[in-house]
Amino acid sequence: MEKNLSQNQDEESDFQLMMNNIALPVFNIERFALHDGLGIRTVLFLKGCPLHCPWCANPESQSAKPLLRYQKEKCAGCGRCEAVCPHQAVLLDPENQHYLVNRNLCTGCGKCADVCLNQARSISGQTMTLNEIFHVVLKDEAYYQATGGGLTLSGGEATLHAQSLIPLLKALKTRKISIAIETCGASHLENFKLLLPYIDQWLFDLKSMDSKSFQEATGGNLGQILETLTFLAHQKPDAITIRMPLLPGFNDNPETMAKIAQLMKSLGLHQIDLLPYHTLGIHKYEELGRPYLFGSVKAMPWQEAEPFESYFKSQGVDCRIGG
Amino acid sequence: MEKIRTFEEFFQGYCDLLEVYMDLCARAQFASYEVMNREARFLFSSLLMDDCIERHHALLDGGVRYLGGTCETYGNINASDSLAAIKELVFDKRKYTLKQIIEAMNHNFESDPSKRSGSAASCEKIRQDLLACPKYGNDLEAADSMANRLYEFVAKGIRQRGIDLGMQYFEIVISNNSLNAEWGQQTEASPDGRKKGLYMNPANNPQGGADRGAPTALLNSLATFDARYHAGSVQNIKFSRSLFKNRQSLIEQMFKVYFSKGGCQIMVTVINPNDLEDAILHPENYRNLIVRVAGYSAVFVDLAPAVQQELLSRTLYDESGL
Repeated sequence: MEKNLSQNQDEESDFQLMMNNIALPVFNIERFALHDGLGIRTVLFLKGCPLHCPWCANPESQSAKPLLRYQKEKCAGCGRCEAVCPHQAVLLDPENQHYLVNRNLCTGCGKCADVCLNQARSISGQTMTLNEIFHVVLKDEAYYQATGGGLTLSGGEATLHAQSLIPLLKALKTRKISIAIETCGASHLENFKLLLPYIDQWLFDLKSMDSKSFQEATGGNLGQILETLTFLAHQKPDAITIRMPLLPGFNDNPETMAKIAQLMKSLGLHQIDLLPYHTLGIHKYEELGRPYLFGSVKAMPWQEAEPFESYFKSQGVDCRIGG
Repeated sequence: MEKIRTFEEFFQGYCDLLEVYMDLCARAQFASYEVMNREARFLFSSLLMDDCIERHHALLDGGVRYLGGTCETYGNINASDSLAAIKELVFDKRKYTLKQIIEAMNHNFESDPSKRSGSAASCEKIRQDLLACPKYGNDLEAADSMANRLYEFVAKGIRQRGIDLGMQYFEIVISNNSLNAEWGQQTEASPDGRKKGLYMNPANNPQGGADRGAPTALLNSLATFDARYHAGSVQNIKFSRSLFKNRQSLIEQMFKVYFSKGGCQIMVTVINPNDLEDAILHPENYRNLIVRVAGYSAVFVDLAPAVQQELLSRTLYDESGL
């Protein structure tokens, strides 16, 4: 049955309305990403995460709100920030002649960042409409087509924004752009059902197989995560890659590896990426005025991950270090 | 300055100034042929070039089929980034007047001791605001379209002047070699935020440090210009050894896309981060380190310091190894 022309036009203008009015909290868009799915990709980093992993390398992503990042080593003590702050959230530390942030009052409005001449202050997180995001993603369209690349949704936990993302994903699909998603699995199953028709590659985190220690460390419900994984595995097992951050002292032990290998085999999953722990995000905690709670654990050298790589391969699971 | 009300008036004024020099370049080129023809007929070369024998005329005496030459341009991107910054800050956002920007530049964006202490900060603030305006090399419409607008004006203008004088192939060349660095030393501060004496941008490439994104963004910017209107340009890209080695096939595909978008040429340097910095400190250890400068390679440790610094300023793409 043919739709009449005016109905199509209505749908199109509704669609454009959504693309122009729905907005998402973005903290980064990274082009030429090579480790987040196949080919040359653009990664969209969205704010908001239900977990609070102590080892998180993107702590600025956990809150959905804009946050002030402040590098006090760059502060010249000129006081221009204090003069413009509408919330009296800037105070002088008389001992060091630095200006400090009162995190209880700071709203992340960014007025101090605008006047700082030393780039000591910046706001992490800006709101972008779906259309704005779409146009940035399109800039590398030809590179995606040439290399099997596309968009990767990440964050934070991108699935929290599933409903809002749909029009953007539809628009990308009409251009035949592939879509991957990195997820920790800790959000309502409904979000995954909504996203399923549009996702070509699921990069699914598994950080632990022990509910109690997982809950204590991250606040997450392992049962919910495994339910989500099971659901996805029944739908598209070949589209799933498990991603396991190797966290020294937390999950880098044979028992955990064995349980993960067994789970993967039972679900028909055969691809895992091991991500050795790194410390490249730690400086951000100080910039956000937060303590780093994973201690002074050193970054894991590549070689330490190799025995685990061999183990998974011996279990018939395709394994890569780094992803 | 106060009489200029719109950006279009400003741009037109700039073009009027450029036309004086474009006229001069074309006429000087043609005049040089007249002098050369008078003083040395180049009879041997004339034997080897069409259509001198058929026409019974020497090379520069009406014998050669296509008379031409090239006119080299420098600081192209400093100029277009400057135009983009002036458009945004003076005419679109009305944040500064032309006079304020000129004064800041005349003091090299530094404090003027005769004024009150507040001016140091405001000069620097002006410079930072200029620097923050869209810059070519980041795949941004505002900067790239300005670069293309200026390019086509100069490229087509030079070409037409050549034709009007009787030269069939007088075009601009944008390769710069190392002169963008050496002449930058004698160039005042510019409204793109560049300080006095700093190297200018190399050829068709962004000002060192202005491109702050991915290689795909850089390549999209580089492919902006239509190569039909020039007689040669240089486009640079630098990779670390590990990235280039580990991702060679992806990089190859990326270059193919760049060429399909109209990119005419690419010069690739593969070098380890810190090699160049270390070579400056310990040149004796790097006697055979060769780098691409522009249309040629050179031994890095033999280059003038200003040129070395300009090469260092070019973005290096590396993998973080995560």
